[in-house]
Amino acid sequence: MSESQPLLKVDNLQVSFKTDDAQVRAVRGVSFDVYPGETVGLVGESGSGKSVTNLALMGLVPKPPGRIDGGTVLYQGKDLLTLSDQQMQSIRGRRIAMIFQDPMTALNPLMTVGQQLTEMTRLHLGLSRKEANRQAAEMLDLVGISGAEKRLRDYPHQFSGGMRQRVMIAMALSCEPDLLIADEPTTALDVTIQAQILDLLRDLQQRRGTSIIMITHDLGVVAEICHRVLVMYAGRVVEKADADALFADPKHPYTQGLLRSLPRFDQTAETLEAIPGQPPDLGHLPDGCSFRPRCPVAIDACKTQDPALVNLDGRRKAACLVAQQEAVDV
Amino acid sequence: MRNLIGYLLKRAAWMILTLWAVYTVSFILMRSVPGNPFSGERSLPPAIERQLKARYNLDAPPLQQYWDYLVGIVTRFDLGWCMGLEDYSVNQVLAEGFPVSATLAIFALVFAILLGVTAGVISAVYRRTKADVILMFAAVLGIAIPNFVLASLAILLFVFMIQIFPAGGWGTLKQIALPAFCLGLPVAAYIARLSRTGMLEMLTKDHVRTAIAKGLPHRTVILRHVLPGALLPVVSYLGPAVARVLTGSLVLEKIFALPGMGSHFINAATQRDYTLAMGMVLTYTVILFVMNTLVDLAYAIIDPRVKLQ
Repeated sequence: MSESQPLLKVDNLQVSFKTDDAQVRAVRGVSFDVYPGETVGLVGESGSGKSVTNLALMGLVPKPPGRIDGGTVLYQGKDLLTLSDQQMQSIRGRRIAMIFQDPMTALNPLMTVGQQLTEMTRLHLGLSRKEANRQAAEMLDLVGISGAEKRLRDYPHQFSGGMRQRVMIAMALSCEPDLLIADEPTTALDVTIQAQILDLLRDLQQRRGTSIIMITHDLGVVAEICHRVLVMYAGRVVEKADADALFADPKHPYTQGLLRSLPRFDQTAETLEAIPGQPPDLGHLPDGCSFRPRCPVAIDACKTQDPALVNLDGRRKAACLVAQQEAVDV
Repeated sequence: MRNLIGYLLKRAAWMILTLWAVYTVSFILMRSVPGNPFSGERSLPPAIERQLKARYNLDAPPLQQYWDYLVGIVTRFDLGWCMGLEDYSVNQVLAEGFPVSATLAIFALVFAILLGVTAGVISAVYRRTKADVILMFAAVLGIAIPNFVLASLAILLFVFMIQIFPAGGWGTLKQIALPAFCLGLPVAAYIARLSRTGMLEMLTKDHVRTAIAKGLPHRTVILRHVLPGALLPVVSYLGPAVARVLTGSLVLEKIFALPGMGSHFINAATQRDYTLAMGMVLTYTVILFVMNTLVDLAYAIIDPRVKLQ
């Protein structure tokens, strides 16, 4: 997989937001590649910059107050960050599609599901009304909504949450994009529906070879469908590894903390373990490593040195001085 | 469909109840104000006054009057003879005045909606630019200036200084333009503010972001995904807007010398023309009721989540 050309190449992306008292650096030099047909997980707490990263890819960062401070996003040799509005419009939905977190609010309540599905295919694929309707019904069928043709005339409020997320997925996939960005697609759904939606995504991916960027704070989701994982903290990627390797042997203390805070079946502890402290204020970052105030293994050097993302062994990278030292010692 | 019919029946029943209440209150109020239709500056000979009162059924006991008049209205839609205008029935006065006032109100409302919504959309899409600031400043002025002041200024400007419009009269488009403008402008200003607020609120909605993420052109996003939702508060306001236009036209018809209902209404009140005043009040009640029902229907058409009840 990784031998082929990457579909999307994000390099040193930087995004900040202007607030009353500071320039908040939400994304601070994020780099990653997405290869055809793979699923990349983007994991982190709220405010770690994972959503903003992807909004930036789509050109959806609200400006102002948002600002792209630097970096490139290469897609088919073009830097998406420099494209005009019109050029971006031909990529959004057509080449790169997005599924949002909350299916209850992500659909337009005043338009039928059919209208919302077909307006996209009619625009991007130039389908006639009839063709678009037929294709929309096929898509609903594909995502497991029964009686598709009839349901096209229904409004979003006539669907349940899980069904709406299926509609979102049908919509996102209707132009057969190369890349699907799924921003916490299962967070707002209950657990049984979550599993169904994940199965659906995996299944559709295998059938169509779509690449997926899965944004989530749920490591269970990552374990289920991701090939590679990026762990983000305070606007940076702090660990990058294959999913198996990450779960087997996390290197960054933040990743270790995340994994430890998962509920486990082989433990009967009353309380879940948590990472102490709060994520840093992105407007006033501490010197040195931004995770240091919460880090259990921090050394003196962490106070002054902001670690870069460094290769530990062939398959993984971590931005942690301690982990990097250990890797050298071994 | 069955929903709709049930809703309309319910509204109709409410309207009848409301009309009856309005009739009763107006009847009592009119008769508790000092004076009567025939108490002018010079007093009439007692014999003539007696005959007049007999002709208009004013010599009957109040409850009898209340009942007789009500029966006439319900069974024959007959609002009786005008007490101030000789040889005119109230129905005749309404039939002559209503088309004028209605035309004026429709022109004013359409003008107000078109101008207000356009201004609101422009200032929301280009928010915090010069255009936004200028439009919203104009809107504040429009809301603050009463329409009779506006009318005087407009007459001064467009009738005397730049002579493009006639000062009054009725019939041609040119004669409608100025009063409709003065009547509609304050409403337009309010609608502009409402639609701007509505647009700004809609722009932050998740589904608008979805629409952008679908790759729709900016214009389509605004017109199809932002505007309809932003218009809901404007639609709700149309009920009060009609009331505002109707009361506004009372004054403007006087200023522009228009043969509408408004001028009759004022005369009826000052001259204690019991029958004409009653006819006016009931007509306005019906108009407002019908408009509010239409507004509810429009709301339900735009927003499928709304259930008519």
